[in-house]
Amino acid sequence: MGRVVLEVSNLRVQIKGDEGIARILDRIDFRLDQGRILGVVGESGCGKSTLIRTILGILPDGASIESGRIMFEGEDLLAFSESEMTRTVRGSRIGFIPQDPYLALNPLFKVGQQILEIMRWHARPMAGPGKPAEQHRKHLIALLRRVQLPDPEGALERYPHQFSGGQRQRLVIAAALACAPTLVIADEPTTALDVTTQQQILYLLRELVEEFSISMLFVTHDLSVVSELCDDLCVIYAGQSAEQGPVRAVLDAPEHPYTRALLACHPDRSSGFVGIPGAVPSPLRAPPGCRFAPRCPQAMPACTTRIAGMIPVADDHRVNCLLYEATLG
Amino acid sequence: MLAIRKFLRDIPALVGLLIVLFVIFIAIFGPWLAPHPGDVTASHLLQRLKPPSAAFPFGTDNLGRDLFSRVILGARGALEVALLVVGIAMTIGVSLGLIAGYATGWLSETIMRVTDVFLALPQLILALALAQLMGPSLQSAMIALAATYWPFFTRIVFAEARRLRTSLFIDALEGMGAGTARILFVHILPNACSPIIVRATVGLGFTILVAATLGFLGMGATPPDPDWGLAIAQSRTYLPGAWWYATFPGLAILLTVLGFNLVGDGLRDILDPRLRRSR
Amino acid sequence: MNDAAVVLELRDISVRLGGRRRWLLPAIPAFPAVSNVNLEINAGEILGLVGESGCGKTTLGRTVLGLQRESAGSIKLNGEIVTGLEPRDARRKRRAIHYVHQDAAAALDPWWSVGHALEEGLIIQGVPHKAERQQRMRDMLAAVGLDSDAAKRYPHELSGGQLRRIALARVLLLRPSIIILDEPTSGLDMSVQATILNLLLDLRQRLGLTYLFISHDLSVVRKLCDRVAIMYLGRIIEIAPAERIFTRPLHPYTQALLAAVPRLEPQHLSAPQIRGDLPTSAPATTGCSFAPRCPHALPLCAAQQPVLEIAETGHEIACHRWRELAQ
Repeated sequence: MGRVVLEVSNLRVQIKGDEGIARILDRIDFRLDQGRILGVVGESGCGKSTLIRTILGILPDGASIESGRIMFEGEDLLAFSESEMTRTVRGSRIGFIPQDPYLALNPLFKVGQQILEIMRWHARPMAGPGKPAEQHRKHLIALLRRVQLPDPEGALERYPHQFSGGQRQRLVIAAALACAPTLVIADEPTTALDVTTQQQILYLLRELVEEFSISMLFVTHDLSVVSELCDDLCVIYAGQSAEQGPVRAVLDAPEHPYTRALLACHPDRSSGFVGIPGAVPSPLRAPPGCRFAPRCPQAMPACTTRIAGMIPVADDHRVNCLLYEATLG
Repeated sequence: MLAIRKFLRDIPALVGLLIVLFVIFIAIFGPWLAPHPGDVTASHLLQRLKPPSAAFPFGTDNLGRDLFSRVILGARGALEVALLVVGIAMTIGVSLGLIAGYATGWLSETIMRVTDVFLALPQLILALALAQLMGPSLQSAMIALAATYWPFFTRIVFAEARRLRTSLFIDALEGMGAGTARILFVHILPNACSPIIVRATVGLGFTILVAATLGFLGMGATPPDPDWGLAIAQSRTYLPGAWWYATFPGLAILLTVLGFNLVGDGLRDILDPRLRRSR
Repeated sequence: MNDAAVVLELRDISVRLGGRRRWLLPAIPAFPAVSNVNLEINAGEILGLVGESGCGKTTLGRTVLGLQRESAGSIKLNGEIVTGLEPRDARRKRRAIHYVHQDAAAALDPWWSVGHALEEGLIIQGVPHKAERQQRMRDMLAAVGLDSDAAKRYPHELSGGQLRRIALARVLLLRPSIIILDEPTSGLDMSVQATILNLLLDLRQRLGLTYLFISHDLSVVRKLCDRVAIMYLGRIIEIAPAERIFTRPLHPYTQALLAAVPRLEPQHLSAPQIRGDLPTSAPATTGCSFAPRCPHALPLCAAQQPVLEIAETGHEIACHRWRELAQ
């Protein structure tokens, strides 16, 4: 087990809105080790985007963090002030690849201008001769070449709408890596892409992670993508952690009833069309214990009142389920 | 309903609503509320230009008429003008905007160019011209105002109709065989109503202001109407001595226009289809 | 060869989009979104139309529906020619065909309740009595597995799965015989997709429907469709029974497409097989449109446009080299 880059423990986040208090995240727990890609998998309504926003410190008004810690390289991000996050973490130590690159890039400015501005803002000193602006430019061109964007010098002078979807995604990946972060958070970066482009991007991400020694948090709803790209997998259901472990361990020997049910739906594992009966509970009216209990085939009475917390069942494989409480020594 | 609750939590909008309701109340019940309703026409020269007192809370004007009553009675005229002008402008403007937005080609272009022409007409000068032609009156002022206000509605509705025309649900309706009338009035119009209603509410206040200006310039209401603008015009010769003569009608205009503007702002926030609820 | 009746026949359909003549400026040329498509859909079958963005599958769907006018070619619906008409007339003639949009939420007017949306179709069709309309609505809601009080809800109050069902119900109330489904499972969680897909199969059987299933989700297409047509840059490059396409794809693009689909049990992250991105400008008019990216391209491929030829019964392919590559 390597060094832990990111550890989220007991994270509770709620958002107050017109219709009441939505308890979006309930005691989220997971760990990302240095140099590995952790897939965070959950379906709609599981709180994935709130989780990302909490780590980056960009929660909307009305959101409050009720409990928990986010340990990033030994420091608790939740204790950072807004200006510390902006100046030292976001964009520089933690890079972000958004889901829709078209929305992430300002259509009115040339692409080079936008990314160079990020680099200038974080003012990372670069090796080599020349003024900082030139160094940044050379570094960015090298990066664009590395992400296989055709004609990097020309690309800097173009506007976002002049690129294809796949090219925009590469631009945004380059922007995320521009300031040499230790952690990169990718929010469904391939969901909007065609299957052949997705393959190229996933392959690229894998190469970049190894080459730049980055750790990556890869948020998605697609288990096949996780299977191909990620080293570890963390499953989230309705704002609660379900299971975490090495990817093959979780996919081939899932322990949590939700993980099992989810895998059963996958076309590669079922002959017909299999779903999970019932619906995800609304965070406005979430039950107190395990939120999967109403749909769980193995639910016990205790499940409706409390959750187990992440219980280790094998090497690095942990499950948040009362069924495994007996195994606790 | 969620929208109403949201509106009630918006303090400025709530204040605006109270003001507007108050003005409407006064407009309707004016003749019964005014202590001296006869002061629309009667004159009591012995009491002319008396400062505010217990008997005459707003003082009296140059003909000895109770200003308090005249301000109250003026509310009805102000609102009538506002509602008529905005009503006519809205009817013309929205219809043309719907047609221009949904149709393409020469029909749409023609309507929008005509709109541009009317937009270029200077409001006050048109009012002056009509006053010359028809003789100065509230009617000529209202025609001038309606004729110069409808293009604003057309512009807004045109933009909304154009935007909605390419939306997927309109496409789906066309696929189902829906006719043009149905698409325009059942689907495009309700979804465009937010900017229309906001513009109409603000327009009510604006119209009162302009009507008062026209009255002030002698191109609108004529004596002895208890028109607010007219009162301010007549007060000119007696300033700064009889300060109450200009102040109270002026405050009435200010308050009314403010009320409408605040309500308009509040409405903009709540007229979002996503706030419609089934329960 | 099955001898079910052919309900829809497309002959040499081409659609060019976006051309504009401008005053005093050079004209903007039209983009060939669909080129020379020949297709036959049999009664009761589910034909899958697969391709990536820009391949023309949505344009083809809208052309079949009638909202997009074809630039060339003919369409026969139950033996009758229905092309050569403006959208409004085309829709009238093709009343038997209806369309379920990809974005179910956006296809509903946010101002009205979904019940209003459902009833509206019947009103347009001319069903005169409210009682009858209400009854048919209730029956249809039950048929798609929704509560009757779902009718009172507004689109933004419903989940993605529920909205799909409403969209389906709305179309079914119009009693179509052919339904064009545009990405019916996209954006749906996997746990929810199953209900929609099972519903589609059930309805096909009960109501004798025919589906044109446009999708990029190959795993769903494999299980649901009877036949699959692969499109690339406006042309159909391969068409075969579903199982055959997935077990013995013959066209290099189909092979690359299938290889690119991520699997739950991979051995390793497979390296991309084809180069470059999907072209955004107009495809070359001479030669195979896939040639620039094809790992097996020869000069012949760039010179001559391949036509669909029969590889086996029911399996057609447009490629100059398929025979050699199949060895």
